[in-house]
Parts: sequence; structure tokens; C-alpha cells
Amino acid sequence: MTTTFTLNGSIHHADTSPGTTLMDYLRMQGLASVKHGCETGECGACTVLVDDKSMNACLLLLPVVEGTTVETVESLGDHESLHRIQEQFLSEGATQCGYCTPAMIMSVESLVRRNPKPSQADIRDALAGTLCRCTGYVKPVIAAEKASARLREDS
Amino acid sequence: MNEWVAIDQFLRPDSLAEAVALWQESGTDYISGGSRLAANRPEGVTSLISIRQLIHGEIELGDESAIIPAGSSIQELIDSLNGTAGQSLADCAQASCSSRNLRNQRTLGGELADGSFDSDLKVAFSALNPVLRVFEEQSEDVAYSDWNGYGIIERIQIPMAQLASLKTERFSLLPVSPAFLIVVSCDIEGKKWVAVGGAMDQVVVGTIESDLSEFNDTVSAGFRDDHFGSPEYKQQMLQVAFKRLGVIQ
Repeated sequence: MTTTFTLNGSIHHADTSPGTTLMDYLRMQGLASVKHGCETGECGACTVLVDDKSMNACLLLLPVVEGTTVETVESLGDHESLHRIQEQFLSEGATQCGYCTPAMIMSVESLVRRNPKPSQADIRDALAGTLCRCTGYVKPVIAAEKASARLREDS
Repeated sequence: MNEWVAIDQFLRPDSLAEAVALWQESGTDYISGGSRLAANRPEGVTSLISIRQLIHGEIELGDESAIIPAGSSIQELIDSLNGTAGQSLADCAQASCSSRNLRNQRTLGGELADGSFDSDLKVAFSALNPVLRVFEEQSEDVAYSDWNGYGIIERIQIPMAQLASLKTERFSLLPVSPAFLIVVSCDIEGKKWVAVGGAMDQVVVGTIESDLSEFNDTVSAGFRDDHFGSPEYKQQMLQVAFKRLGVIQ
């Protein structure tokens, strides 16, 4: 069946079987930031934004995102021009093995879109759906605080 | 690959009547938020019937009651109730699922129909006993406690006075982890109702006007001897919760 949605700014007409998950489709498109972790929504490594809301791509069948806008970390910045959140994760050393980093960045991006001045509690709540196997949450929280401040300065 | 290979049809009915008619066929299941379905992938399901577009809408908080479309996500409920008389229900919704991703995906209809007994939200709804509008052959209003589990929940209606009286006590290993004991009380037409859930096989609901020792016995019979603690320990925690909630002196 065909599912039409916007992916990182481009319209996609995805012709797949109805049991295909959004995570599978995104990885087939070469978007390797969407990690194949637990497949049960526990780890959040496949976090993407669907209409600005953070969701687990492993638990979304592709037909469910018909008509929506899906964003992955590839839409935020590139090696030449990093997004503020990516910059702060880098400068704060907020990545360890890096496996969960795209998910954390998208969770923070979703947070600052709805709440430009988040508290530390807001940040911890936003990141709660993403498990870091390296047990490193302090630096991502600091990076998110600094990124939101930089984004406010920019705007 | 994470494909759910058994699924060969994803249907988008235009009406609840069409959805119910499709569901009569074998191998079908309704999908709303879909997070539980996609994780559990029940055997025998080959066709999914999408219903969220039929039961989603604005949450209305009136002077008399809250009317909540069943397709609302848990996070939408929290956003609507934060800072209102329904704050306790918002707190229950937050506690029921620590992952914002899942709160964005899970819908209230799914939580009422399939929520686990350690869901703070399901226990709270059990105490509140809201009026559900359910479509089976036609739309009918039915109390949650009387719902037979069939049909599609369209909306949930809760009197604001009941919502404002809701109180919760929960016991868990960590604040963000599922609770092994959840005790919720609320006032309905002058009576205090209590619901108890957690690491149990059911949610037990009763009033303190009924025999409290009998209620205690029913709840305690469901306590397991597990890594959370012995049944005796949980019985003590239940009494602590009752005192904190003003159920007993």
C-alpha cells in the first residue's frame, strides 16, 4: 500500500507492505540515525518527530503516519552546519558511544519547540523515553540547557 | 527488519459503523495509538482497522464535566489537565508512563481497554468510573464498570467534582518506575470510592461504606510474594495509603 507523508522536508509516497514500521522505512532510506534497538518502545533509540512530537519509530506502522510530517536528526544540521543542539552535545561531551544521541537530540528539539525555556525537570522528562547504555544523563541535560539558551539568544 | 509480516491489510473506515462491521471479520483488530499492538503483535491478526481519526478531537473541560475523546493521547490529557482541578488525574497519567514518546503515542481508549493493572491511569479511571460513550451497533453511554469490553470507546465523560476529589498514593522502587501498589480514592455522590492496582491480576474497586475488612481481604488476596516485597509488607503499605488518603483514621 502507498503511504504519503513528508520526510525531512520532502514528500514521500512509500509503497510498502502495511506491516512495515516507520523505523524500517527510514533505515531503508539510509537514515541511519534511527537506531534499531529494542523494537518494543523501551529504549527510545529510534525516536523521531511526528508532527513535532517525539515518538518511537519502531512502534509506528508506516500507514499510521499517513499525512504527517516526520523528522529525523538528519533534518536538523549537517557536518558543515550543525544545529545548536548538536553543537552543545558536542561541546559538552554529551555523547559517549553515540548510539542514543540522535534520539536525545530529537527529544530535546521537540521540547524546545513547545517550550523555549525548559526547566531541568522538563528536560529530564523529555529525555526519559531514551535509555543511555553508557549511563550518561548529566551531560545531555547540561547540553540541552545550554542549547535552549543559545536558541533563545538566536531568536 | 522490524516488519509485522502477518499484516496484509490496513483499513481506514469512514465511520464507526463501518469500523465495527469490518471488525466482525476474522483476523481483525482495531488500531488507535498502536504502541501496544505493534510491540505485542497478537497472533492471528492480519488486518488492522484504524479508528483514531474517528475518535480524536478536542478535550473539553466544562464547569460540570470533562469530556475527553478516546483518541486523545495520554500526553494530550496531561497538557489539558495541568493546572486545573484535574491535576491529580494528570499526575496519574504522567506516572503511568515515564516515556514521553509513549505518552505521545498511547491513547486513552487503548488505556481503558487494554491498560495493565499497574497503570496509574487505569486505576484512576477505575475509581472515577467515568461514563463511556461506546459504539457497538449504535452509540450508547455506559459506566466503565459496566462496559463489556466490546465496541469502540468514543469518549470519556467525568464530572469535574469527581475529578477534583481524586487522590493517589503509589509505591514503587523508583519514582519513574511502575508502581507495585497504586491506591486511588475519589468522592462519587457523597461516597468515597477506592481502587487498588499495581503488580496484581486485577484492579479492585469498592466503597468504604462497604465492609472495609472484606475489601482488604479481596485486595490482599491479589498480593504476590515477589521482588517488591511480601504480601504482609504490601498489606502494611495499603494501610499507610488508606491513612494518607483519609480512608481510615
